[in-house]
Amino acid sequence: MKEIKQYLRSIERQLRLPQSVRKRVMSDLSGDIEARLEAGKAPCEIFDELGTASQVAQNFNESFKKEIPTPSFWRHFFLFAAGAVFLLWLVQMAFCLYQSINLAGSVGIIGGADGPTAIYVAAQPGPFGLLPLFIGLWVCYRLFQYNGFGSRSQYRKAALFSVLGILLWLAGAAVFAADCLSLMPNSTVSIQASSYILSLLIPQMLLPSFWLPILTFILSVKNYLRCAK
Amino acid sequence: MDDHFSRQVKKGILELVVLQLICTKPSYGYELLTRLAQDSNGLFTLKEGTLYPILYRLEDEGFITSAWGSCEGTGRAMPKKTYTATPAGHSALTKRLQIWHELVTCVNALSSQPTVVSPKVCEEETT
Repeated sequence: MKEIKQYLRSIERQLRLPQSVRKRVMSDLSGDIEARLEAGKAPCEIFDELGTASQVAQNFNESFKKEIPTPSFWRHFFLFAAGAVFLLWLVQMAFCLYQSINLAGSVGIIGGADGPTAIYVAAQPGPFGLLPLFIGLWVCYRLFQYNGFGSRSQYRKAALFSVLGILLWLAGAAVFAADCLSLMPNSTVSIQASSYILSLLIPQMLLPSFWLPILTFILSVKNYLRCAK
Repeated sequence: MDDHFSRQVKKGILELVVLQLICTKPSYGYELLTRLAQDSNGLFTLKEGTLYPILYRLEDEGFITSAWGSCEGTGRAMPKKTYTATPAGHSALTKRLQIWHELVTCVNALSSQPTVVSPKVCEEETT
């Protein structure tokens, strides 16, 4: 039944529906065409009854138009912000690379500065990078695009991306803490050192690069569980 | 105008009619289309594009469930998806039918009252 397969493929190509709805429609339509064949109808009779592939696809596109919500307008804002942050991250990476090549050994440490000042200077400009923020903004863009009507797999991917953002932030924080400890004089009491590192970390936690991936993770999981019901 | 009215009324009751058919007998898509056309004497001649959104809405609301039949021993290349009504679907149908009957009774009562032609129309007719 090559012609039936071609017919179905042609319909699928012209469907302007979300992946989940498209799959649902195509599986139902395949079953119904099979039922028509069982009823003794020839492929040409079936095509006459259903209409051309374009007509069938257009009919489905129009019927489902009201059922499918339009993506939120706010997604453009998050896409733009994610793009800007990504560009900034690239510039930052290029700058760091340039520094590491040309100014090896003197990055961010003012000669003769005391321990805390050296740590503070080494901590600039933002020890955790912009990548977690980019991931958070990107997931926000996807969530606003789905507008509450995404599939389970889409929300699962969004949750996994958010976890990646959180892990990147934590890895950055760990590297930062290790750097700070290496700059501390050996005589510094460990409690005093850790409290000082925490006092530098807490303001970083107020920034969106920390809380945005957490927020997107919660939203993605919430939507995933709603789809799973 | 009449066409528009007829379309709107059909559209409104289509979900009820489809739910009624599935509650009577678990069916697959094509079976529903043929049953609808036959039982309504051609009044409800639908296409898949009209039926599927209704089926998906009913399924998402939990009024019907779908299950794939087996291909084994049937010689079929593709399995068929059969829709079955859930207990929630049966109770929703009862409620909706009750509303429908109330509406029909009300419209019948209103339509049994004598109609009055406006005096303006009468004057036009005499001249």
